[in-house]
Amino acid sequence: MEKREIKIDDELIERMMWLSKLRLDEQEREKIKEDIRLLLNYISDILEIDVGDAEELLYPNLSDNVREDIPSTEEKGREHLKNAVLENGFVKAPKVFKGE
Amino acid sequence: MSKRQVVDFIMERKNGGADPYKLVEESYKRIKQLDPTLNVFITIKGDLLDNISEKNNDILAGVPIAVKDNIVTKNLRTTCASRVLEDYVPSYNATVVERLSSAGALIIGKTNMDEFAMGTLGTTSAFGPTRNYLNMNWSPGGSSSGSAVAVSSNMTPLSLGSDTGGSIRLPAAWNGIYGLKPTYGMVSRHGLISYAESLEQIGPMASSASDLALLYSIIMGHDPRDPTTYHRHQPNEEFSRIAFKKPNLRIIEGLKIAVIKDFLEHPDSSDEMIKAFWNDLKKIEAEGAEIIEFSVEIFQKIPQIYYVIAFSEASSNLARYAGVLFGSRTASLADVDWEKAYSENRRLFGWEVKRRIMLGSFILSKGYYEMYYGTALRARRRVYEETVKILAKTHVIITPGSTVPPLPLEYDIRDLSKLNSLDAPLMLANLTGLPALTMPTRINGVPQSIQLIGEKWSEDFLFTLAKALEIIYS
Repeated sequence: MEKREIKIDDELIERMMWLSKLRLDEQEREKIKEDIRLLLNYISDILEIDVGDAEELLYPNLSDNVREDIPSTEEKGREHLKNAVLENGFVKAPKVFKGE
Repeated sequence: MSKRQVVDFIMERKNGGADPYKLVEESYKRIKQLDPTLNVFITIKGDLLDNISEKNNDILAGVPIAVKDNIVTKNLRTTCASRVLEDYVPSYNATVVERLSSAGALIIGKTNMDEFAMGTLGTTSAFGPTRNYLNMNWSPGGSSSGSAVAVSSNMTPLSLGSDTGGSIRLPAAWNGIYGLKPTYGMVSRHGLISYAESLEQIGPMASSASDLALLYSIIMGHDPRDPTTYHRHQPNEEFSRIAFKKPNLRIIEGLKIAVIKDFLEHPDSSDEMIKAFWNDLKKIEAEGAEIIEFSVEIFQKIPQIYYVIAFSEASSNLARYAGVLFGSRTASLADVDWEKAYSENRRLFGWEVKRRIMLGSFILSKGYYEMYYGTALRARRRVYEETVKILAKTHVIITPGSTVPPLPLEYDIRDLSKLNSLDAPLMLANLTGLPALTMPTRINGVPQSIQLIGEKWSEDFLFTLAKALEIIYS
């Protein structure tokens, strides 16, 4: 596959910000355009690699390491909520639904 | 150059001669003296002397250890060197911390690092950079910068780091100490705050191959809480036996060493470092080893493959930092739109983390997922296959521990392509999941080191070989 030119413009940066839930101010947006250009240009080198019919390798040890399908629990779930904002036994989170 | 501090302390204790408080007292003294300048620790536990018992016969009783601050410690702040977790106090211990405590070790503090383990120079920490004890103007290497300098400056004899793309081995190289990235799946990642979960492992750092093997023997092994750990493997005792065994040069006779020309002939590799590397190899050859050269074109693109995978996994793993379940909250959660609340809380990330998350999210998005991420995973398979072919014909791959001298602290890492020659030999082990051990060969002047990469599960061989090589390089 050959390298494809991707336009690094305000629209792309807005999309990236939305995808990653990060907000940047005006100055940061200009700075990140250059960073993204450098990084994207570098990683796009992989598009020139001939991968042939190789299968994806997601984890180096996936194929030889499977356990018995037996459920278990340490019953420590509640302890791990210590750092959340709790109200009446519920974790408080911001509004998701905007409508009625 | 090589100091068997812990193994010797244990032998002394077995013979009834060791002061159980000695190592911890020395640590506190060194920390008080040096940490204000070196900035190794983010959090220090000041009460360890109260926890020492003269009757304690655990193997690591009385031994202080520094733990990288992306490994959770119950009731002891764990920050990942980020403002996002500045006040995070975990409710549990990582499995490796539990194992260390069961062995009697004393966690003396949490070490500085690149934020969320993302960095090469140790300069992206929200708490300021750690300094290199060998030369204050040099970077200590990242991301396990604090853990490396804790050992090199004798603040602690042992430390734990994590290695996603060389983050144990590069600091080991630039500080003249020993570091191991274990076979993927040999050390539990339960309690390791994720950056890129298919690439990273917790690993030991020490000032000798013996101490390194000993620390590995304590932390390694299957953990039901981490499904990526192996069910079957060598027993832990195998490695503690190696730690105490006398070194044997016979392992070098007939040893077939693979050398990858693509790493050495890279235009950005330092001539001086490559020349020193060949001198180091000649010393091994003189003991009966054979050097075989290989050239593999795809190896030149290892860092690019790594970064696509790492950025993608990082964007997913760091999506949880929104201020809901944990982490700093700058935005109120009440009566606020969730996207606004999340984005506001996530402004606390440092610049390097932000740009990696943004690019990772983009790589995984519609229209680019298959093009970048899919291709990178298939290229990863090809790198793995080529490496396994090389190790089928040889016993070990040896590369320089670093192809360039320690970079200055203020080196600009905005353009990651400038680090290509440094990254490629290190990231090979992360992409393939193979074990890799870095050890010093000279520390006067610019520190020299070599990296040993073996087959899966060959840590016993790597430790034994490293102990033999210590004799040659001492």
